Amino acid sequence: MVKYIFRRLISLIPLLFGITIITFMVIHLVPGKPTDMETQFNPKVSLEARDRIARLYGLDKPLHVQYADWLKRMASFDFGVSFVDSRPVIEKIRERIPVTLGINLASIILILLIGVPIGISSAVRENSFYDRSMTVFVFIGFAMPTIWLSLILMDLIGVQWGILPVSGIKSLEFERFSFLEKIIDVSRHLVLPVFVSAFAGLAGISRYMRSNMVQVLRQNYIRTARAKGLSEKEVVYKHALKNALLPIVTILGLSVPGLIGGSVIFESIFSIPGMGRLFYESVMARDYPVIMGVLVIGAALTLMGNLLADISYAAVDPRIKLE
Amino acid sequence: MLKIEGLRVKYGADEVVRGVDLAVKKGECVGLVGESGCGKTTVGLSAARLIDARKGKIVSGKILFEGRDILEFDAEGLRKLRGRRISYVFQEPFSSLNPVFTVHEQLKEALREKGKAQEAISEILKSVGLEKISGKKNIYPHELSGGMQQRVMIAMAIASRPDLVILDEPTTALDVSVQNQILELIAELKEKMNLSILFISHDLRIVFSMADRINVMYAGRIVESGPKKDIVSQPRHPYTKGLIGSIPSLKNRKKRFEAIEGKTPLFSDLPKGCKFYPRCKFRIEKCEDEEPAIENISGDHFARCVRAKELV
Repeated sequence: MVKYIFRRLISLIPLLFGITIITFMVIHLVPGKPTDMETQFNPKVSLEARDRIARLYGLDKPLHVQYADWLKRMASFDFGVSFVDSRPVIEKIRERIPVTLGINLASIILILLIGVPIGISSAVRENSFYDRSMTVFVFIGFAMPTIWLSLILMDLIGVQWGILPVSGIKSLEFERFSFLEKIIDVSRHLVLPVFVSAFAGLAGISRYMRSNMVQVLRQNYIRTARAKGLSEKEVVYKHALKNALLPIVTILGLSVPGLIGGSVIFESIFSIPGMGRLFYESVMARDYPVIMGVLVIGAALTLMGNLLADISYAAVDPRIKLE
Repeated sequence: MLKIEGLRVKYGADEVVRGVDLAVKKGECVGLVGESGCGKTTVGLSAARLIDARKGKIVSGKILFEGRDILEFDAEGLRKLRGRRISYVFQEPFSSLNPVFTVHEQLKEALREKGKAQEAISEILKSVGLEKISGKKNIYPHELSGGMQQRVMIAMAIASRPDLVILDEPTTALDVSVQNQILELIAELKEKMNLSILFISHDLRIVFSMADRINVMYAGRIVESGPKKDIVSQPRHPYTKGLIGSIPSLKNRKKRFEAIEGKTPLFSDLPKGCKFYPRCKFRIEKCEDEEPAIENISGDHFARCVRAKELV
């Protein structure tokens, strides 16, 4: 097992290496330069000054040299500094992660808590009125544009009824709050974003769970469990459920990278200072070090998530042995 | 012990069991033979009320277990019946064992008394010839061979000392060499525990070796039934004759065994009269119009054929 994990980790290195080359090239292929903000829009900047700024950022060097420089820094886990405000990339990312992670984590937990039971109960009552209603319900969430739903909820709950705050993650007087008040304040701000993103994601898990469960309930061993004289509860919630839950473990592993990748649209609507907006702003400003930083962390998490999915699957399914 | 009367089962629009009568007495092994798709498994599943409600439905009939009609049982009544009084061994042991629970856990569920489960499980595993794993707690089904898996299934079926065991093609999915071991085990357990057995198989040879009474089923109905010796020595229904004729013989190697011509009819498109008529070597005009009733031939021997008495 340890040997297997070690071998998998080693094999991730060239993969990660390849990903960085491709993303680095693609990002630099995009028209526009990080210096455009300071130069193009300012007619007073002389040609000399432009060259000087480009040299300052190392943009005058050939691309492969720039990549080599970047890689050299990465080797010591130095993500570099942002072109926009000269702050360390790692610091900019670090201050954005908690919000995005918090929302996504809360949303995934909510999706699991609601989606898994919906899936199970639908499968048990396959093709019943309940099953069909649930299908319609989860697909409404899936099909409804996030922007539209967010705006409607903000108007209704935030503006007209005034129950919840509609934007940001803190109130203006946040600093004066006690610790408990701070927690409540942040939670109140997160209700709408978490609800909207969970509603949109409900269809995936609940339908997946439903189809797993429907399939498992048709297996011969379920009939065996009934033939043994087990109650319907034991048949469904012990024999069927354990089998149907196994693939969910994989889904969880695969959702690890999604935990830190925020949604641009979503974070913009609710004015949430998260990863999605950081990435969007960095791309618009061609802030290469930040873009690369976000992408590398995302890629690393994706690869680790895959590995985690494989390991945890082996941990829960006795038929699978990692060697 | 078990008495099935006029059982009719439908899968969607197709009636696959069209009025079956069958009885299993205490300590008796009754065989139910027929080709694939003749409805024999459905009869077996009905007897434990295990037909998947999404697919099929018992339309009419009675299934009397010790005089009480189990078709009228509620969920709780059925739960107490299954496993404890009537247990089941399915055709494919591999898919019939839950892959994510250990053999131990699955056996434990089948026990009537949960106290001293450990010893009881070891005891049962030994009685089905699985001494090797009787002491091991962490064995999963996929770690066992097909024959061992079927022994586990049998162990589960006898764990609560049931009165009736329904064996549905218990050896079909196994190697021939393993088949005989399993059959011997079943025969041994039957003697030791005085079990009543409903033995379902497409293989007449196996049924001959196991059963006291034999029922031959064709297209959803019993076409011949009687004590083993009568069926072996004097089959009256042309279908039974065909089945016996298609057993290859070791003594008479030169004789080619005869296959029954044609195919089993589809339930959606059954012939009007005798259902075996299109394939029958002995057919007469009368057979085409009317399905014959089952008639007594002698003693306990019945056949559903208009020429049953003349065909010896």
